[in-house]
Amino acid sequence: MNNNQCDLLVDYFNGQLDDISHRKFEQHLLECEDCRKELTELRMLTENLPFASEPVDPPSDMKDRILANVFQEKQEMVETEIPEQKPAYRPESERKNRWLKPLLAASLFLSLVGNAYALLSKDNENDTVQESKVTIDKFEKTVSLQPSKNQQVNGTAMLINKDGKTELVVQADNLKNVTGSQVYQVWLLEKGKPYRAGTFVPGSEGQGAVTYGINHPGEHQWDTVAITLEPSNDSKTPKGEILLSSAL
Amino acid sequence: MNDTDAELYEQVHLGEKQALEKIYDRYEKLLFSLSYKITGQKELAEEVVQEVFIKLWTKKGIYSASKGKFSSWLMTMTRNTSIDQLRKRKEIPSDFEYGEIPSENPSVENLVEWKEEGSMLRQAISELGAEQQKMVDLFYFKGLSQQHIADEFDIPLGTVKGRIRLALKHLKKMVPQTNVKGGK
Repeated sequence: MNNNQCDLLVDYFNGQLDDISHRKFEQHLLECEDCRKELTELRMLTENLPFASEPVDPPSDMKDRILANVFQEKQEMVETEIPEQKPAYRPESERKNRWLKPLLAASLFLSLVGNAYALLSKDNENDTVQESKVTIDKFEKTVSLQPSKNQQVNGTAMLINKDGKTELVVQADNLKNVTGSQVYQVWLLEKGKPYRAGTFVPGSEGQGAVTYGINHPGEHQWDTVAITLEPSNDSKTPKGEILLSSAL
Repeated sequence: MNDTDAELYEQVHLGEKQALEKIYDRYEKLLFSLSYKITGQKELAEEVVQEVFIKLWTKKGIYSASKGKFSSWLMTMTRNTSIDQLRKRKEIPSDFEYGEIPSENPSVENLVEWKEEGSMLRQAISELGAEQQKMVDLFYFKGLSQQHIADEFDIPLGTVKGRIRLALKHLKKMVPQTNVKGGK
């Protein structure tokens, strides 16, 4: 039994195992001291091998391309600002941290989704700016977020139907800067039960926004949207007080 | 200017774009060169570097000090991503092409550690026997499966692991142990 597993070390190291075998082997590692030792040894023996690579100059415009794509990616996850509408690969320095009013933001959001789509469809290199696939998004509703007592913040939430899936777009103003690992967390509530719906940190002007593809399994009737300030980006339920909220 | 990798990563974690850019500037060339060595294609190497930095940026907490030195971890991730990309395209270059310098103008290493380790390592590799050179290449830089390696060498499957270890240990012995650096 075990012997069979021990024979998989090389393929494990090289990522050649399928998911199930991979997990099985990791389980085996917990039990087999020999394999643990051999794996540690392999890692130690190969640690510096990447330095054997002969230096090759990357293309001079690679940095602009990659960083533009990387920072665009961020907007899908944790968004701090909405850049101007632009071709995909404008260097970061050309971006302006300009705030856009909600309706403009909505149309911009569609273009961001378009860009992300273009990225996904693997047109990474050398392309001139190309037409994104046209998708027709249906505006569902927009609500003004109401500040809780003593809060100066304000914001807007929008629901947009995209190919049968609902996207939530939230923006807010006058947010306090976060400290440490703090983040602002958007929640969708259904009969009092909170679901995570986007995480963001504000830009230097106290403005923040996030787009979130609602993908919680099952049917939901969201009744409330709310924003809280959380100590970290992994709160399962709100730990901070509600700063902004609205019925949906 | 001279933030350590760990300090920069901490800032990346907080969403500091400039910190990511600094890490990018520091490692762009090494990671590109490594990926190019593995994939043999500049377009693919660029894609790999992009994938690595997207993970670094979007997956908060993907690196922690428990995973060892930041630079080692970053190189390992780049190696694994390169091998994955190759596999996805099923274009494993099986030709053995060690030491080929692809650019017309020879380029230089931009990191002290790379410069020091690199020339010693390449020297040591070149002094290995042809079989062991090929073993290091197929195992580490091509990431082939055990079966694939056994086929290439026409040896029994069960002996592959031992042969890999032997080649790597031999190589290690031939590289002068100069710097005992405490990784920061």
